[in-house]
Amino acid sequence: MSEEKGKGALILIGVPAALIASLFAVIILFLSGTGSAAAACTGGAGTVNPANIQANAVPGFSAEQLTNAAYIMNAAATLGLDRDGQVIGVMTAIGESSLTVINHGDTAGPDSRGLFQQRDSWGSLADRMDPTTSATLFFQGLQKVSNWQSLEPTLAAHKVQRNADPYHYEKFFAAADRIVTALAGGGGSCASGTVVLPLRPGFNMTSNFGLRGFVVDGASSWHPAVDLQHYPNPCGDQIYSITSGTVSYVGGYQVTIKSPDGYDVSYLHMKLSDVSVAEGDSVTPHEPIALVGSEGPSTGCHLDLRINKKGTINEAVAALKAGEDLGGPPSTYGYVNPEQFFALFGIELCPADSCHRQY
Amino acid sequence: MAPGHRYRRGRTVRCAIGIVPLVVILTLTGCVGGAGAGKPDATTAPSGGTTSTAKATSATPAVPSDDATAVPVPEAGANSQTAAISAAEKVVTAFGRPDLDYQTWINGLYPLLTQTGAAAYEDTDPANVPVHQVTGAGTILPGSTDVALIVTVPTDAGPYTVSLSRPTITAPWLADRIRPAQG
Repeated sequence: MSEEKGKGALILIGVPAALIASLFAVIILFLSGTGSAAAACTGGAGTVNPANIQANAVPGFSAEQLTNAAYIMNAAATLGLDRDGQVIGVMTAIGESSLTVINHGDTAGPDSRGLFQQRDSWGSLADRMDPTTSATLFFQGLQKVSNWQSLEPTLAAHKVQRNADPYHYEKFFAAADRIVTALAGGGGSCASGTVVLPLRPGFNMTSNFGLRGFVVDGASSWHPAVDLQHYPNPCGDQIYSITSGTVSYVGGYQVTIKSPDGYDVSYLHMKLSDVSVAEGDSVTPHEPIALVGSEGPSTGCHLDLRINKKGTINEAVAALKAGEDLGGPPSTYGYVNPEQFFALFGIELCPADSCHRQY
Repeated sequence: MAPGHRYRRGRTVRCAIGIVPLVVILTLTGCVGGAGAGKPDATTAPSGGTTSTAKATSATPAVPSDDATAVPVPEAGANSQTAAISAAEKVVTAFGRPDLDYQTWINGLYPLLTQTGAAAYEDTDPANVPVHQVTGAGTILPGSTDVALIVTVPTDAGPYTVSLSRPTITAPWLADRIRPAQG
């Protein structure tokens, strides 16, 4: 998806061309079946000169690894795939081989070889050990997956690789995006769709995570959350689930959704009558769950978003510092900084160019 | 738990009719970093800007604040936990059958998976599954709830985590994810 399309959809709401484009996308999404998480990219599919890779172009990756990423990106471009395809290819190769041409397999696949750990059935040993040819084989497989662009990237890769773990590639998406961004040049980036913003873009942050400088009801407070709102007229704004998961609590002025990775995301201050999900519901990222309100101890409409990592099996989320690590009171234990949480997924929660910080 | 939500999972699909256009718009704009992407709408930008003006000037809109605490979701009850451990062990046993042909394997697994789980695991080639057997009793991870929790199950290929969910407290636990324990 190009940047132009993205901007057009925002600016031209109500214009027939945009409506037609939306309807077309609606059809694609319906055909895709489950889930609405999909990679969304700005910037096109750049090609890279593999002979001209700088050793330190992307921290954590060697020149050899980045050269292999360049071959993968070029193979995608040759087949006419866009940037989302390039990122999925690089992500898959990180997950399979750490972007190195491996000349051995593993227990589950002793005959697996190369960047994509392709087994005998994929082609000759020489083809599977060749970066460009093995990447081409991967992308040809991806092109056969119907509506792969509408799938969560790890699941699109899994449909080609048929791995034991469909979610194996998820944690490599952000690194793959960094590599493609660095090598392709010209800016742009991709969001995986695994985690999305809770309000439409353009909101402000009226309280950040941590010890607050100002007081409410005469007492300073340690805020294990971020407060977000549009200005003016934040009341009634649509709130979207930031992840997939199961609604585990609806009550008072709160909705809590448990991710299959185990962490809990809570949304506060809504009227129960404005909550559109019920306990036990399964939700997808972007799914509307409630409207912004000012219920409970609150002096104005806003969304209080808080994320508790207790019991999570996501290593990166588990490694985030929580209230107890930062000197917070027991009521903040387990709660992590939502800005750091979003950053793990390559998303800036409050970008300087659109989000004003008022606290 | 409200009664009558047994078929709640279907609601997601019905709601999609109304939400998809918004989803599309958000998806198309879900990126950062492109030149000019995410430029703020002039009408949404506050007139103030810095913390000091926001606090000091009465003309600046009041910053809403709160001292709210989130209600901790109760841990799953004993019956829920027992049922979940049993379900997770069953799931991993059905998952860890690399000896089976694909159709037999997935047919054994489908009844134990949520829709989301089925959509993910139906693309797995059982020959790539390293698990052959469950080697001990499952344990519930902290943060469990009566409708969603994670069970760790020991296997001959190391511990696996099974993310289970269910639409009501009386429905059977089904698996969203079956993954090797990370780390």
